[in-house]
Amino acid sequence: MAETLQVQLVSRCREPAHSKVPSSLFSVPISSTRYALSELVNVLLSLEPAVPFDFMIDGTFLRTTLEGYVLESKGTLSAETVLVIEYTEALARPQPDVLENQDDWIADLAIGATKFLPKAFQVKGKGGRKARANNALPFLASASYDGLVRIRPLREDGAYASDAAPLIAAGHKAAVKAVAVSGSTLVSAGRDHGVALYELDPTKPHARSTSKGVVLPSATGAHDDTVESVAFHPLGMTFITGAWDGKVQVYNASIAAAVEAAASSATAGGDDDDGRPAKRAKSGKAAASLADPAPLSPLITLEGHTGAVTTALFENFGDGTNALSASWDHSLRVWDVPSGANATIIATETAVLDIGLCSAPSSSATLTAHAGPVVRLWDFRTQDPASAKFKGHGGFVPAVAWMPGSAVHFATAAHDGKVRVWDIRSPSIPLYSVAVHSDKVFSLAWLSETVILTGSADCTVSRVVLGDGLSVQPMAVASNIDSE
Amino acid sequence: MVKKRKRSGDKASGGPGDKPGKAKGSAKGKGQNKPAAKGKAAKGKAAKGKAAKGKAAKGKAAWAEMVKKRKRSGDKASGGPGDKPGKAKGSAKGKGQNKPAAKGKAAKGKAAKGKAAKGKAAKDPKGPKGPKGRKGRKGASKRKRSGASSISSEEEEPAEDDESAAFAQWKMTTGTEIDDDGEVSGELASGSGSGSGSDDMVHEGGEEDFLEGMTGGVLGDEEEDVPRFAKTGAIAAPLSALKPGGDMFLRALRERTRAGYRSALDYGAPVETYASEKQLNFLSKRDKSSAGIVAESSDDESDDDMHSRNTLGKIPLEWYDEYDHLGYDLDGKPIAKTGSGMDTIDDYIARTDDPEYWRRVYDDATQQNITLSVKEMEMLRRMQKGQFGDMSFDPYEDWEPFFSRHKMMHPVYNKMPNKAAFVPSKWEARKVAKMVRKIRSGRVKPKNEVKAPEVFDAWADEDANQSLRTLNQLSAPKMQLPTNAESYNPPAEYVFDEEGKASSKAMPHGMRSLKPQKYSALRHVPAYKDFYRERYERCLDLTFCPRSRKVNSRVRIAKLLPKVPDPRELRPFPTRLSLTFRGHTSKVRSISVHPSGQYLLSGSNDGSVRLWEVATGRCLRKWSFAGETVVYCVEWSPAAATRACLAAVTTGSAIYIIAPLDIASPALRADTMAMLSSGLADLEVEGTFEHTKRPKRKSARDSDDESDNDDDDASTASSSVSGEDAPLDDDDVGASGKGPAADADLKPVRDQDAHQVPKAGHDRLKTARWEQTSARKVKQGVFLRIAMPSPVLSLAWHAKGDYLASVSPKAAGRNAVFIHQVSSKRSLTPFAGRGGFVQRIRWHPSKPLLFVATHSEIRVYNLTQQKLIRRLKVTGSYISDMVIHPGGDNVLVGSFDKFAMWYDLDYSSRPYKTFKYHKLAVRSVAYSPRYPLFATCSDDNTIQVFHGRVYADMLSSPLIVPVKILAGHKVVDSIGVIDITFHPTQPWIFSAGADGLINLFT
Repeated sequence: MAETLQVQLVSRCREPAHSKVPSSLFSVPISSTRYALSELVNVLLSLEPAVPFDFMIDGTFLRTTLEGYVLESKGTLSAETVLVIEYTEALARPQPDVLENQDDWIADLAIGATKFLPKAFQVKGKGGRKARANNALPFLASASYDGLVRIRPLREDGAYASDAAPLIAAGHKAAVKAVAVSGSTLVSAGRDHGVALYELDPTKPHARSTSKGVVLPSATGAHDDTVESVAFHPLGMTFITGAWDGKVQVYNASIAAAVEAAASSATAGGDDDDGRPAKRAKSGKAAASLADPAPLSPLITLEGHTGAVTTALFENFGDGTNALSASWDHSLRVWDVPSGANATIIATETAVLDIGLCSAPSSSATLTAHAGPVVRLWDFRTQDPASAKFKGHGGFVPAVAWMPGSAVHFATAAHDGKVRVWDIRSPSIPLYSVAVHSDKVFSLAWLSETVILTGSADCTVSRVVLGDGLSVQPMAVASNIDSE
Repeated sequence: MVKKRKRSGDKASGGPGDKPGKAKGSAKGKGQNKPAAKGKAAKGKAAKGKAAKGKAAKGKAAWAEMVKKRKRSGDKASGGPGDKPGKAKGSAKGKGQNKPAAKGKAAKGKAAKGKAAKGKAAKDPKGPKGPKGRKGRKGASKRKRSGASSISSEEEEPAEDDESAAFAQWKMTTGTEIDDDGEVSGELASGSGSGSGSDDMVHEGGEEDFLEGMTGGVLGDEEEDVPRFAKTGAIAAPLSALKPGGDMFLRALRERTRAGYRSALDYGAPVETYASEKQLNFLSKRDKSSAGIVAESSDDESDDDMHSRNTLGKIPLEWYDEYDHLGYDLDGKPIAKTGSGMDTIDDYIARTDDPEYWRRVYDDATQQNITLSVKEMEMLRRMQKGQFGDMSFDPYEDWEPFFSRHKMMHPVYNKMPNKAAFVPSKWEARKVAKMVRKIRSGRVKPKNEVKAPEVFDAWADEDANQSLRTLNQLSAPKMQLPTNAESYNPPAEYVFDEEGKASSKAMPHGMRSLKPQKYSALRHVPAYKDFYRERYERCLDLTFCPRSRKVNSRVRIAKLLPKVPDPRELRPFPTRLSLTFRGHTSKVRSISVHPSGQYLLSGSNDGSVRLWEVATGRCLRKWSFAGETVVYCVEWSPAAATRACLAAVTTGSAIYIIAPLDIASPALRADTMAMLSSGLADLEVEGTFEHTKRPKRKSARDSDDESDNDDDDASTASSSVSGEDAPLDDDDVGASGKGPAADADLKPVRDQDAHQVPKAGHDRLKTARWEQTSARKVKQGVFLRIAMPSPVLSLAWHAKGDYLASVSPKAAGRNAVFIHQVSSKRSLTPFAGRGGFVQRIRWHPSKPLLFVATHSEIRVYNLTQQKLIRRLKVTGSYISDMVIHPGGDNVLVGSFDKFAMWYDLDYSSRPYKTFKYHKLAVRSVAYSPRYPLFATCSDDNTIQVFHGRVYADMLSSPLIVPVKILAGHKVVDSIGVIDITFHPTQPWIFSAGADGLINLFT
């Protein structure tokens, strides 16, 4: 084999100054690694100080030597062909920092943004009011095993915007297992089998705030067992829950409607012959008074799972009528929500703990995190949906989430306390593996393309800030994925 | 040489007249000299006599002999004999005198000829030797070299030599296929070449000699009886020239003649035969009648007179078709073709006039007309018929064998074998070397190449099989022959002296134990009596019980092992440690998974019971029983997810029924409360749970009710429990006082252990007593308490969740096993007596069967019939745990002596499989409720997971494959993994270790 390879360098850099590499062919030693190529580019660009670059060949990050890559390609490449190597700025190693120490395990995190801030959300410092006035301020809702949901405003960089006591949503008698936010509506679910609906905007009629800033739930729903997951429809009008009783339920997210329904059922004296089975259990406790939570009735109940449903969410692509659910019964189900029919069942090897839906436009790539050190990538539009496997975690992977707007990057959190950032073009090795927590990590949320917030069993909420450049989307790769 | 030859020929031709007499004389003399020369000699004489009679000149015995010997080839020389005999006779005489053994016939002719040749060829070194005439090979070879004479000499040589004479002759007779190995060569004789590598000169000379000899012979002949031979030559030539028919005829004639002679010679291989009188007669007659057959048959070379002689030799006449001449005369001038001298008219005239015309033929070669005689005609006619031409010739004549049955006074000859026969032949060696060289260089390949058979030989293996069969027969070993020491009559030095010592070192090593004894005769040997009988029996043995070779079957052990599927095909099964449930501070004795799979309950030596969330490892609740030091067993009700969310906990001498209602749905909560409340009225304790409901609900709302991770909370809870439950405390003071002994419970208890014996004088419970717990406890979810007469170590819920069986191994008699009914709050003791220490009790999942495991056996009771229906034998084991397969037909048993046993109830009461894979005591065994898995755990700190598939049909046996060994605990106090249980819905296994951890392997 030749000692050198002909390569052509193509820039995918965000920085224009980094793109000025001559398009001529270079002869590089086949033993070159990422470091050597990076040096080459630095010399070509005469950068000072040096900027580390990362290299992609045919949509895959170079993680071995060039020789290794050629050998791996098993004949599709030879030493004679000219390799087209794309390069981008390498990402800086992310540094985690602890945002908050809570009293109990953090079960779930949700990030929202609202213009309507309660008093507790007073942002200290300059520009706070301005920001509040003009933009929706991001906030973090953390669901804890102590039964509370704590809400804190965030800055753009992920740090807490205020040191004030968090806004507390106390709607559960037991641990809160899931929380979701849409607009000014927050929904939480927990081990007490209930679902709590909150209105965060104090100006709304059913919102109630106390002097302490505690938001009381305006309604509760009911499963027969621990509710593991709650997620809003992209439009925010409904939300979907999955619970240990194997049911997936879709609720109306309108608090007003819930209150009215509760009131009407109360006035009807527990008459539940209007065909709403979910009402039955709660009818006795339904109270017209707003002091007590009003019972929620599911719009529809999707039954079919034979094991605990760990995640249920609406698909963000298509016409928005499909829902996905994952369960301990080793299956992934796609539901047609209006009809309540189970459209697809996909068997998985192990119990699924979480589903990650890609928010990038025209991408239907879906990730599943499993009760095992495995994350799988699916594309439901193909015959054989399982397309890639990401291994490397220790223990369960309870959370997976795509980078907002990205079709190639995602992050996973695992029981080994680590958060890993992946690029689907590098399935064998994560881009980063950051030991964020000292205990199991349960939840993970992207604040932006560079900030990841995590909640863990070590009772902390942490922030991981990635470098820039991760959001670079090599168009070729994106189109590849689409075409698959 | 030619000239010499000629001259000698002339000489010879001149000579014959006087010599015959001599010859006769010599022959006679010989005969007289040697009486031993048998019939041959006699014949020779007779022949001689005849010859003498018939023709003075020719009729020598030698001549007759010669003729006979040389059938065809000899004829060449036939011309010659006439003159040579004279000399020959003399020599023969000499020889005869010299060697009495030389046969009469022998040799004279040859010797004579040889001498003649020698004499002529002055240079020939043979000369001096000739007279002696007896130098076998040397003389012969020399003669060979010397051309024409050699022909005769060769023929003679054998005769002169020993018995090879006959042989050589015989060879000659059989024709030209003479070997070139130096004996007699036909080729040589015909002058083609000398195989012997002598110099060219000699060789050429030899050839010329040959020709000359011919000529000379011819000349000599011609002198003798020209007319006859002329005739004969004439006959041969014209015959061959006859038109087609005639030609054919002539050829047939020749063939016939040859065949006749050949056959005659063949029959009478011994030369002597032909010396018979008839033969001689024939020959002489032929001579007389000038029948040219001999000459003819011996080719056309011998002719009579100069004019008529065929000068062409043996070439086709067609070659001269274009020429006017026909051959050449001696001076090299062409002989003009004269034709028959008759034109058509002459021919016509002759036909009409000449009465002989019809038997006149024209010979092209000699250009003569020949008139066939009457005899010749007759001969031709006969030959046409396929008979011998000569009427007087009898081809089937009897012959006298050379070796007769009569005893002879003297051997036929006493000549020593030829020395040359012992000398390796140089030429042969050269030839062999040449061949070897060729073979080595690859130019010649050995002929013995084995050709691949063209067709399949179906029976090719037949012999091989047979030989194999015979190979398997092992012959009896042969006994060694006795040595001196073993002899019945040993030499003196072997015999012991009086002191009993072997007198010498003669005694072979290894036979020192033998004590040689001397017997005067074999029959005095004591064993002699039975010897023949024993031998006979031995033979019988060997005959009827032949020994056969022991066939070692070549079987690979790996092939004998059952084919076990690859563990990878048997997935899923737990492979890695995924979660660790931390919280217990001491050994975790028992774990139980909620039927939904969401919660795990564990009991520990630290006296606490914990409720865990499986998916996260979160400890949700903790119950402490301060008065108790050990929680022996925790067990979820199988109906915990459906009808009554209950769990039973045994600690000390009490069983607690706990109901963590906060994990239950409202409906389940109500059902559970109904179950707990029913039958309370029958208890001595007044009241129901009604009054407790409110506080419980209230407490459930408190967040500090759950997640009592912190010790403070736990301690308050425990203290409250212990404080309010006086009976509990009273009953178990002994137990709590002997806390350290708790570990001993983990070890097999063979006898009543002192550690749980109540204090003396204490009022001891005689039976189980149901009690309602305090409000505080109810608030925590501990609803009922069953006070037991003795510590309960094991619990088993019935599948429906109403009955609970408890085992008190140390209790006496009937109190060892209780069955409690939760709905009615009653307990009963199903077994009256004790049949050993009960270790475990299990319910059949579907049938009303109860499995009771004592230390050494498993009894199966039918509860409806109330009788013992089966005993499963456990030999030599001390049962530690027992579980029933979810299907109900298989039982898995673990024992403290490292065994785990699988019983298939369809088979027998013996284990279907026994596993001895653990190095230390097996603590617990478990079946997976959903997957075909089971596992055993042991003090050696390992959990061994097996694939155990049970088939629904009755035909297949369970398939058991070990798939994984898991480890994740630490050994504490030489106790490893204490309890294991499978997840109800996942292929996961939980293990409780002595290190206070609970591990989840997925």
